[in-house]
Amino acid sequence: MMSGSPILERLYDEHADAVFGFLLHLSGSEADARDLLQDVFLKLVRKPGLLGSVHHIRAFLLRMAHHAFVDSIRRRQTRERSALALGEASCWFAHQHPPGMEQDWGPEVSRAMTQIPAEQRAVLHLKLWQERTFAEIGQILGISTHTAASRYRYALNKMEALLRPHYEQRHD
Amino acid sequence: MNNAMTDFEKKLQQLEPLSAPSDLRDRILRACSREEESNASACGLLSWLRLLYPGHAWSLGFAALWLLVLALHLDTPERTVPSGPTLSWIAWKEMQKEQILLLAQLETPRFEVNLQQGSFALPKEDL
Repeated sequence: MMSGSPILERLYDEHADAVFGFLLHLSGSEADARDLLQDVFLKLVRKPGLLGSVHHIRAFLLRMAHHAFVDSIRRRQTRERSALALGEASCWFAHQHPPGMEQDWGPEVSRAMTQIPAEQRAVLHLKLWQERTFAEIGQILGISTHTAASRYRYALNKMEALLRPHYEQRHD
Repeated sequence: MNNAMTDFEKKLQQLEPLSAPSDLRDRILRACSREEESNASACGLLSWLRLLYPGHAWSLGFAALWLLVLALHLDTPERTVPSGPTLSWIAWKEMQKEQILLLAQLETPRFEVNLQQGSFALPKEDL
């Protein structure tokens, strides 16, 4: 499967943005997201048979990315705490003005996401920005559908509470 | 569970997560290329090793053969050194005398040797 660089290039062009966005929301650090994305692709090179029988490559890559993130957290547990606990997240979204919003609220959403645990951020990201079903999210993260759904609800409630002032103010 | 998205969810969804930085593509693909090359060289080394290692079945066969050889070797009776013609007691004594004489001459020529008694002594002036 991974016999030549053109295949890797195609894989990168088709999936790297999505996997990077997921890793950025998980890790909260662009530097970590870069390193983890590289880890994912290096693993594909080291184990050429990995994608051999995979039907949903994007989902598989997201799963690999999640594994890479969990491994990295195990290796250096303090990193995430120091990066996120301070609430110094840069904007994790492209600058834009959503319809009905006066300003770009990406920075506020990014900051709010730092306030929820990584496992809830993972579900939130996969549901909202990868448009996955809870069953698919469960498969990607190795959790049950029910757990995925409940984590999403917790995350959404927390985000809503944190962002309500900005959201209501801008939505009015 | 209600699958209909709320207005809040829709607003969140409209945000576009950051894409991978443009410089990252080259960096990752270059790293992958290096990894592929090192994998290829490792595979080359492995193929040489495979030539030397014919496979599990063959290796087990060789091991069994060696065990058999070892077992046969242990069962073989030790070869005894063929003994030469036996010396008579008189001939052995003669040889001993000659040996004493030769040794005494080597040590010091001033020894007085008594061949009849098979002994030697220091000269009287040395006593």
